[in-house]
Order: sequence, then C-alpha cells, then structure tokens
Amino acid sequence: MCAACLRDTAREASARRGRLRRLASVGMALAGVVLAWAMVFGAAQGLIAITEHSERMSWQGR
Amino acid sequence: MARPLEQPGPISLLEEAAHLLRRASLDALLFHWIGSVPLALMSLVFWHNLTHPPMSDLNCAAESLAVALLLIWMNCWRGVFADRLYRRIAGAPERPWNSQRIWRLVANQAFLGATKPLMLGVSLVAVFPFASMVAFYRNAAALAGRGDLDPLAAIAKARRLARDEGLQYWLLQCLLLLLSLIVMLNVAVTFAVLPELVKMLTGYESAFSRGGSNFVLNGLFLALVLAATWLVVDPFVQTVYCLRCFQAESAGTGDDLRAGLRRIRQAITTAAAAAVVVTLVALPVVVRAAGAVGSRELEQAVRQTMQSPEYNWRIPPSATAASGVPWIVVATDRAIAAIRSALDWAGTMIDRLLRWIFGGLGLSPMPLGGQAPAAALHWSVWALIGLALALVGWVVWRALRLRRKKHGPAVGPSIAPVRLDDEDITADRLPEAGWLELAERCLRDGNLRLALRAFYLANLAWLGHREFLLLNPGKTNLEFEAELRRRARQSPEARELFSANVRAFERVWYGLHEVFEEDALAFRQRGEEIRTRLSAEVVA
Repeated sequence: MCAACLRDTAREASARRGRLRRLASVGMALAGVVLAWAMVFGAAQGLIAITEHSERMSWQGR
Repeated sequence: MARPLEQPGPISLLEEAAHLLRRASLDALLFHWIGSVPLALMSLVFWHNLTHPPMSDLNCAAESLAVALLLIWMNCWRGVFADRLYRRIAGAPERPWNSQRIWRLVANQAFLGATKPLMLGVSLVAVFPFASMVAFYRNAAALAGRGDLDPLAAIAKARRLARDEGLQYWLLQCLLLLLSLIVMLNVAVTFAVLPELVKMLTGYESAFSRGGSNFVLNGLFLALVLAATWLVVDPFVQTVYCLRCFQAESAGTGDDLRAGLRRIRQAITTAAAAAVVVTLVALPVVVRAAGAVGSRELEQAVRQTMQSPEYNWRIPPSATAASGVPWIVVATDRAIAAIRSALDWAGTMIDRLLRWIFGGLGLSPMPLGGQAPAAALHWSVWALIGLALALVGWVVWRALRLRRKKHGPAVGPSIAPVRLDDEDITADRLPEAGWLELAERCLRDGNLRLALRAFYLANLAWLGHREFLLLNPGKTNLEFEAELRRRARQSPEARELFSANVRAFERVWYGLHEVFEEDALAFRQRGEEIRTRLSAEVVA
C-alpha cells in the first residue's frame, strides 16, 4: 500500500468516525430531552397519586 | 528537600475552593444563576400546582416539558460556569464560543442532565458507587464546556477521573452535606423571620407576617428553603469538583505545574515593573538622605533603636523563666500520668489473675499436645465454671418463676373494677360478654336500672367492635343513633330497634322512670335482635 492510499484510507475512516460522532451527539441531545421529560412527568404523576391518596385517607379518617 | 507529590485532603480542597470562588468574577456566578434560578422558580410553581389538584394531564405534561427543558438549560449554564472556573484554575485564556462548542456542550449536558437524577437515585440505593457517581457528573460538567472534547470523549474522561480516590469523594460528600445542612438552617431561619423583620422595621404587614406559624408549616416553605439552599450551595459544590477534576487531570498532564509557572512568571513581571517604578521614584530621595546624615549620627541612631523595648526579644531568656512551666500544664501532666499508672496497675492485675488461672499454677492456657483438654484445667477453674453454671441456673429459675407468677391462675373476666353507676363509664371498658355478664348479675340481684345500663353498654360494645359505631366518651346517644343511621343504611329494622333501646335507656337512666323485669328482658331481646340483623347484613 502506498502512502497516498494510506492517507486516503485514514481520511475516509476519520470522516466516517466524525459522522458517527455527530450522529451520536444528536442522539444524545434528543434522548436527553425525552428522558428528562419522561422522568419529570412520571415523578409528577407519582406525586399527584400520593397527594390524592393522602387526602382520601385523611378524609376517611375524619 | 523536595516534597513528595500528594493529593490535598478534603478540608484543604474545600478551603481552596472557597478561596477560588471568592476570587472568581461575579459574571461566573451569574452564569450559574442564569441557569439555576429559572429552574428553581419553575420547580416551585410546578410543585405548587401538583400539590394543589385538580391538574389536567395536558397541563401536567406541558409543565413537565418546561421543567425538563429548564433542567437541561441549567446544566448547560452550569457547564459554562464550570468551564470558567476550570480556565481560571489552569490559568488558560478564554476561548470563543463557536457553534460547534455550544452544540457539544448542549448534547453532553442534555444527556447527562437527564440521566443524573436517575443514576444518582440508583447509586444511592446501591450506596457504594454514590460518591463516584456524583464526582463523575460534576467532572463531566467541568469538562463539557471545553471545545476540544466531543461529548463521548468528555464522558469517558470524566469517568476515568472519577474512578480513583473513592474515600476522598466520600469524605467530600459528608463535608458538603454538613455544609448544606448548615446553609439550609440559615436559609430557613432567615425566611422564617423575614416577614416579621420587615414588619418590625418598615411597618409593612404582608400575607406572610399575618400567617404566623402557618407560613413556616406550609409545605411550600420547605420547598422554597430547599431551592434557595441549592442556589447557594451548588456553585460551591461545582467549584470543589472543578478543582478536584483539575488536580486529577494534572496528575497525568502536569497542567498544575504549567499553571504554577504561569503564575510565577506573571508575578515576576508585575514585581519587576513595580521595582522599576519604586527605584525610579525612591532613588533620588535615598541619595539625598544618605548625603545629609553623617556616619557617626547614623551609628548612634542605630544603637538607640536597638536598646528600645521593641527589641527585647533579642535578649536571651533567664534560666528561671525558661523552666517556669505554667501550673495548668503541670497539673494536666500529673493527671495524665496518674491515669496511665492506674491503667497499668489494672492491666497488671488482670494479667496476674489470668496467669494465676492458666499459668501461675503450672498449667498452660492451651491444652498440651496429645492431652485431653479436661486434664489441662486446674480444679479452681472447674469450680469457677461450676459457679458460673449455678449462677445461670439460678437466673433461669428466677425468670421462670416470675413468668409463672405473671401467668398465674386466670382471674376470670375483669368485671370487678367496673362500677355501673359511674357516670364516666364507657362501653369500651369491657367486651360485650363482660357487660352481658354484669347485666345478668344485676338482673339476678334485682337491680334492674343497672342491668338496663349494662345491656345498653353491651349493645354499644358490640356495635363498636363490629365498627358500626366509633366509641368515644364525648359522643351523645343521639350522635350514636345518627352514626348508626349512616353506617347501617341497609338495615332500617336494626336502626329502629337501637333507637327504641336508646329511648328506653334514657327514660330509665336520666328520666328516673321505674323499670320492671319485663322492660329489661325486652331491652335484652332488642339488643339480640340488633345483633342478628346486623350480622346478617354483614354476611350479605
């Protein structure tokens, strides 16, 4: 393999790696937003359920 | 001699972080608060809406999205803040924010900011990885703002830097937790007294000062205190981890040496400039002064100065002064020596006792090889063992005897202490069977008034046991009737019978109407019928 072929191969590999990295960045950002939303929404629903349950219990205790 | 390389302890790390944060410019802190204040406010609003239902699912989803986006926003700004601090520690110049750098920061912090609460929760349950996990996320925030690392590389580096020094991270966590608690206490006290303070100083009465203690007992107050504490403490925590991250990274790159050299070079340049200025200004004055004062006068002035009291420290101290140890030190030394000798004496005595048991009588503590263990013990040891066994036996015998006494012959139903004519008597004092037995006894004795009361209390006890009534000394018979009407809706006959019993009882007990045996028997009959009907209802 000559030096020029080696350079071309390395450039191609680095370009492919760069594309993958860019794709990974986009995926990370989107996954972050979705995960954060799901987590906050889940926590909120849990809190609502707990609040309702405790209110029901206090009403029954009365 | 050169000092060996070592990591600073957690306390010195905290001190250095406090120093660094004090030296940091205000805009670094503002960067943090640009991100954290909106998140804190939105979280408080969200919390308030959640704990005060009704809240539709659509609203909940919209507000959740807002909180999630603000969480990512906060993490990004925390990254900017951490980058500023990191550059300050390293002495590196600021780098411009181009689109690539911003995008890398956002991608990194969006992902890590979202996974952080989840992963911290999991690691807290698992306990051991918690401190390293916190360090990983904080390191990642410190590395995210650097433009030279893509998100994945920054994550890998943060993980590598957080892997070591587990114990130090735990100590840091403990200290930071303690600090956070102290800050929280301060914030809580400040918020609690603030409305009253404003009222005292300005005369302005707000809803908070009117609320009194309700303001503090409100759930939102705690959330407010937590949010404010986080706003105060989080920049400091991030500073600590920035510093720690820099030190860990420098162990491989030598960046701390470079930063130190840069600082020295800067200091030398500044000092040289200052020295040139001082020399230029002061030289003519010095030359003039040197020409004006003769050498003899100068010598005399120096001698006079040396004899002044300020220079007494140069005179060697007298021998008595040197040996004059303060009395408190002597007393403490003596006390320590006495305690030490007492402990030595106790140790010697225990040693002698053990030697007497095992070795002093020509016996070794361990059985000799090939010899049965029993043959290696002296008779006195057997005696001690026998004594110990006897003592244990005596204790067990005593315990059994006490228990037998406690569980002694049953004394039958405890009806003797109950006085039926007592006005404060309640139905829950005895079970139904107890009241019925009392009633039968009164019936036999011809005390029909008390029998009627016992039947009525039996009635109440049964209803209370079956949870048709909630027995309470404060309740009236009318309230019992109303309660039964509510709880035994399916059985109107039972309610009627109970009402008839209540009327009969009140006529006799409060109205002093005469009661005959057939009245008491009818009362008992109605009670039994109530039981039958309500039991049938329960079964149905």
